[in-house]
Amino acid sequence: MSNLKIWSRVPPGSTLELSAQSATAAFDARARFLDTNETEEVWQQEDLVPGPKRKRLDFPGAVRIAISFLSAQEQEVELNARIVKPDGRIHGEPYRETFTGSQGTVARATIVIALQEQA
Amino acid sequence: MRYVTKNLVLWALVSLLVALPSAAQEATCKPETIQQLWNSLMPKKAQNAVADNLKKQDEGANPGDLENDASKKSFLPFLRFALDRLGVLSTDQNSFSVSQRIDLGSSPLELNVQGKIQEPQIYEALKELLPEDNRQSRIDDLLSDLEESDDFTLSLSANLRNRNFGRDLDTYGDLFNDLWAEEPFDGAVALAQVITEITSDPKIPDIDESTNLCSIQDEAIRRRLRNAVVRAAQEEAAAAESLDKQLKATRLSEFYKLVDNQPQLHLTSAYRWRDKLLGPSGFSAKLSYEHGFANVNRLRKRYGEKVTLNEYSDYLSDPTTQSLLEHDDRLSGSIEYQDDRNDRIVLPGDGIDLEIGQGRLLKSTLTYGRSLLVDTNRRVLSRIDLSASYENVSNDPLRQDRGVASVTYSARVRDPWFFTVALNYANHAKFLPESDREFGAHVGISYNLFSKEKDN
Repeated sequence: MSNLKIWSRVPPGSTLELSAQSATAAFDARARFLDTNETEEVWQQEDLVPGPKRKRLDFPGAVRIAISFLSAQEQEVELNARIVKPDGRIHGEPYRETFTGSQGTVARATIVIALQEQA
Repeated sequence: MRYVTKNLVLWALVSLLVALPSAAQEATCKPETIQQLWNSLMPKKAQNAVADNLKKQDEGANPGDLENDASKKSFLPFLRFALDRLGVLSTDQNSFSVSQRIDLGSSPLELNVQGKIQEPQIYEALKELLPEDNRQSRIDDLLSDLEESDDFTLSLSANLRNRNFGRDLDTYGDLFNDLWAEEPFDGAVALAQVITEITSDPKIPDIDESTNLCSIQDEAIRRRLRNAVVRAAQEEAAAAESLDKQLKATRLSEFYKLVDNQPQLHLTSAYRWRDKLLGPSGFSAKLSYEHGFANVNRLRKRYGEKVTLNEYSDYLSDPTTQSLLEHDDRLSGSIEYQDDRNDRIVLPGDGIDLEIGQGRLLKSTLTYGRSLLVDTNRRVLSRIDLSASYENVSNDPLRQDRGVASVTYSARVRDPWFFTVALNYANHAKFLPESDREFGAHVGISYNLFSKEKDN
């Protein structure tokens, strides 16, 4: 299981798309975005599920995601993230990871977004 | 010869000097990806610590372990079962059913439809009338003429789910957010900045989590990147551990218990088609209500709609709340309606002419239950349930209206054995013309097939 994703040389003005979904699990997903310009946002369940939550990227930044599992039985939640460049193409490899847990488990993931420095 | 030897030594020395820096670099750069470095800094239990703690807290604490737990009619397990197996067939030894949840979008009603085929069983009243000397062979004869599908039930159940009813865990997120939003998060942002600066050099390849740190030739840059990864990972590890500790300290992990005590309103209606040899066909409906006394509604009533973590923690630490949660006090009530179709079983060879399905039944029940003894592992050792019901029967000359009160005491003798005593009082017997008042007592020892201790 990979709970770290790094993108580098992301063109400024690109958009991060982040979503969480599960066919069966009851879960709560939260994400916290912070960048070097001190922009801080907390994205709630309703932003991420079904999502995607979109965030324009103008500064290097990071997203911390926490998924609280609420089902009594062990269930899976899939986290998806990708960077859409200003020209509409996808930057690098999208992030797709499945987290497994049951009631009380909190799965965490960190996304690091390094931007392409403008000349 | 001496000249050749001297040159050879010189050549070897020069070769050694040339090779040393790259050897030194090989020795100082341990091949590892950023992901591997990140993972190595995470505490092993970081991801699962909370789950492990919850599991430990919950082991043996399930009051449902205790049999005859009449007041604890939690629909949650059934709903979870249904939700987890949408439209999936299920079978057991005596029945075969298929259920499907109906999605009503944003409606507060959750609907579930189920079709169930049960293994045919001859109607009890008919069995009693069959000649005793060859009863079993007659039962077998009668069953051999029946189809597998001769006992079919179609049911529709509705569960009310809104802010005050039902057992959704939606509000968990708000409280969890209070904890989580305070975690430091600068390290990951600093890492993003470092990678942005490093990759401004076109000679540096793209960096992602699978990048091997040794692939960065410049030692200073490599060290800078490594330090940034280490700082971010250490911060994440500390945050995960801190969250785990705070979840325990604030008892947030017990939040689901408040949710499990939320009021529930559940309606089930069903029509059962049976061959008359199996009993009357008919319609039945049941409206059920249940709640525990320490619940999310009480929490909101005390602190308002927006509950802070401190307020939540205070509520959970309140001795009254703790007592209610520990003893799992529950109140439940139901109104049940049954209307069987009139029919007649005529078996001339056996001299049987039996009217079935006469009358309608309206039954209301109120039950209160409390666990009396709970051990240090929060396992219920004994529980008492008080129940009162009233049956209103119409159009049935054989039955009469009556009220029934019962007390059921259940105790865990030694897993998996349970001891149960039930005392019943009815102001009338069920069937006329028996005595006007009726006392009953049942004492039993039961064996729990699903006891957890047996597995240990």
